[in-house]
Amino acid sequence: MPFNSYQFLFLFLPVVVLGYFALGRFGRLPAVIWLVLASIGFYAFARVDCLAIILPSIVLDYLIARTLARLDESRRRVRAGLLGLGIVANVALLGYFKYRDFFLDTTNLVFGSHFAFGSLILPLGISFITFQKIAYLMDVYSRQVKPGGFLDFLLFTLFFPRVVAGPIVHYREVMPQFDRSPVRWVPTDIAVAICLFSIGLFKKVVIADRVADFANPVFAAPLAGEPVTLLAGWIGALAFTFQIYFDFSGYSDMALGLARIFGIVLPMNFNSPLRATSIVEFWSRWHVTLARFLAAYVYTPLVLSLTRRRMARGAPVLRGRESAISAFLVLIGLPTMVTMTIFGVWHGAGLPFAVWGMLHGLMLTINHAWRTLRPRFWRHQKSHDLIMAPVGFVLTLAGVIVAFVFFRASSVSAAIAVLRGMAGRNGVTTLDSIGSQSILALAWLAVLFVIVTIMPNSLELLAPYRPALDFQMRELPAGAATRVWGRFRLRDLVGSRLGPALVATLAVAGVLGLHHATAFLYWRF
Amino acid sequence: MSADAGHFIRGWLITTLLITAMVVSVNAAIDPYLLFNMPRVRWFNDRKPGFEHQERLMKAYEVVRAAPNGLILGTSRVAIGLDPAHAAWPAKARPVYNLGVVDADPFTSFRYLQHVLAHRDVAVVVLGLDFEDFLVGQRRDPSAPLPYESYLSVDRDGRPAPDRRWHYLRDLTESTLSLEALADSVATVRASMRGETLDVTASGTLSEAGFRREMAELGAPALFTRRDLDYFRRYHGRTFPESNAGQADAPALVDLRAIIELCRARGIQLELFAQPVHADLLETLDLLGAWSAYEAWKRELVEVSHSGASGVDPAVRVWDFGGYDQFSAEPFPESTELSARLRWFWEPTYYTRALGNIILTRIFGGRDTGYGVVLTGDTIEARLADVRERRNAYRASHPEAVRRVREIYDSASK
Repeated sequence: MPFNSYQFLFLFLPVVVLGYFALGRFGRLPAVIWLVLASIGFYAFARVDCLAIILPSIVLDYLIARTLARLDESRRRVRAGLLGLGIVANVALLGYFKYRDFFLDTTNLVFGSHFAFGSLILPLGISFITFQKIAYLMDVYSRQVKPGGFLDFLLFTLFFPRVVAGPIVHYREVMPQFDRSPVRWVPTDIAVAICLFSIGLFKKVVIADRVADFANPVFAAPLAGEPVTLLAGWIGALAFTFQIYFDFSGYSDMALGLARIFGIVLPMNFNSPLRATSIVEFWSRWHVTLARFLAAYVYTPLVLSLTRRRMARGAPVLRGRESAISAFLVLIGLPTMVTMTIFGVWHGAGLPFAVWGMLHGLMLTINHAWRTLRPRFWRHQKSHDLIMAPVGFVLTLAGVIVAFVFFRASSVSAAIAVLRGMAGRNGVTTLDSIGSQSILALAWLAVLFVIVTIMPNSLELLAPYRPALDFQMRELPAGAATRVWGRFRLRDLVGSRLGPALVATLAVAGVLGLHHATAFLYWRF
Repeated sequence: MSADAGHFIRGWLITTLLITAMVVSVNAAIDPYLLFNMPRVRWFNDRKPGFEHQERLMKAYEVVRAAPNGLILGTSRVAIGLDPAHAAWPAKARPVYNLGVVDADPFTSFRYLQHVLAHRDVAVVVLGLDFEDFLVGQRRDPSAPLPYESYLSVDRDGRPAPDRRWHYLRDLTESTLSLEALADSVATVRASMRGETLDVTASGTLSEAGFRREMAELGAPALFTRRDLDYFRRYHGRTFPESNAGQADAPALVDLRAIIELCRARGIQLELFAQPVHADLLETLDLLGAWSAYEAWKRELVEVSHSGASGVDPAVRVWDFGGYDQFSAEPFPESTELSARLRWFWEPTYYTRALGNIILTRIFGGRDTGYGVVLTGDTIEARLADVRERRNAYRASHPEAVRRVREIYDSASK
């Protein structure tokens, strides 16, 4: 039941919200039970058998977590074994349902074998649920989290605003909020929730679903054997970049808004990433909770492990700008490439996702190298910032757009065909290459470019109300648009005079577009 | 802050309701999809360009209101080419509604006929047939409902559609509470102010404005060349059956038989006709090796229309307008002006209303003008032989046109 559906908006959500506050009068427990049942119902609505797959895994994780918490430090090996079992069980479940067919297909292709495979169902949100449960087990293992009751764990795992596509949360971030927040109607929370959900719905239904129409024909062209010309290629790649931007950003806003109805503030997942002036900064703004998960549980342990080994061997380790090239490559380059490849493959079984991840790994490595080594030959920080901010912005945007071609294309060869077109190998082209839609496409893309780079985002518009955990207001770029927004106090959407009308317009436009709404891109992962 | 929030929620609720009410009112007043039977007011909403998105929805509702005694069924070719108001229509068929819809195969025609007959009896049905719809491989999952079927009043067995009330609510929502409807409302007003535009009339006829515009932009030779190429691609690689009556992979014949049986059961005069196509398409079919299949198709039409007939069955006739004649052999205009167009064809398969009028006159006029032949077991072979003979004559008299099609075929085959 997608958030952008009539059933969800006009049936599920009102019933759940009214039921929650009504039961809240009888105490916290009935309301929480209601929310858990609603979340289970929400999850089962897509396919009941998905629930049958996920529930046993949740029970197993809960039992392991309880045991981990009960065992003291004298049983260290048992605890480590249990943690390993939990991680392996989760990864195996994910691997079986998400990657089995890919591996069998690849094996058949490479070795000429004939393993039979059919299409498995992919349990909804399995990638997100798996990572979240692994994080939970590790937090329990390191005693950062004390497991609560099974009901709490169910709520933590299946809380419907974020179960399908995140944000990936830590137990300690969210569950205490359920204990603290009053089970009653809080006008500020409801107002913030309305704003976030309306903005998210508009982004998804009115922008992402529409701009997809400019991307789809371009990425379909290589499959039909048609060449992609330069203009068409760039329009297609940029259109997909904006499609996934508004799709994921819209989803993230809606998830934050839905949780906020119940007084829960989820962590920031998305913060105007296309404003980034470096690829490192991009990853502090795009899919923030997955990036921090992989940084905490893959990248950092890998760096520490490699550093320890090198130190044991007497090999050089990182020493800031004095770092040796070999140390940099092994301790930054290698972990970055491994982490980002996992990042890519996490999105789906297939080479294009892996290439997308590796490209980002390469860009991050180069960016880190620049940051580490640049002071050796360019010491003047002010001149560096002055020149590299715009250059970095353009390079980052171009890198992100090019990498997204692999993310969107159905195969690596199809992606290369689009990239060849973008490089002008099939002619510089005319506006006719994508028919009469080309002018419209360029107009859309120009407007969207302004929105993503200059206009305040949903979190900034609601900054006074703490719209997300970990969100810190950064200064908006100076300019006429900022002055205009400031004039109408739209940095406080709830408190501004224009706020209700603006948000109502977005909400109505979103609802009007529901008829042709499509699934969120990240719901596939 | 809480006071601000309360003020915000109240303001948001009121504004949301106001905007929603405004959108619903605008869409209902302009009525872009003909759902509310609002009067068509000149300069305001008399043109309906929204048919491009919602033609099947619009015609499902409009045909019931039109209460016709005569129906035109088939694809957009009949929707554009046949005039429901033409003088040739017999009195018992009036009023006539043009229920031809874009890309309608015989099954679609059958379902819309069922839909109309669920509301009223009709006296005459004219059904335009296209060879392309009868090619092998046009499989349809018999159990899967097609999207447009939810607009219809009856299921495939002719029983009242069980979910019709819900579907009606959905249609209402889509016509009032959707961005598409709002965009089409704006387009309706713009088109009504402009005049010449894509449109569907109250009797179901689609305007020729799209072709007029395309012809004016490209000119006849370029438009024909582009479409010749399109049709080559569309037919290329398809299987042409020599005989496929009753086969599971030829559902169009099964559906045609269902239409015939339904008309017989309801005492309806049914006029089937193989639609005229320009000589360009006939030449393309021959180059593709489909000529004998094209002839076999016409034999099948005779076979299907006569099977199951009781003794004398004058109510079902099969007409053939597909062949080489003064209309299909029409050359490009001599003028090089882009606005110069052919008189009888817009492109290789879409004939003009002028030719549509001649077809209607032939079917209902009762006078043999030499154009259009009633196919029966007695006339079919002679007709096919005549078309072959005329083909040879055409090739001798129009070598340039034949060479042009050949060049298109050769370039597309590479």
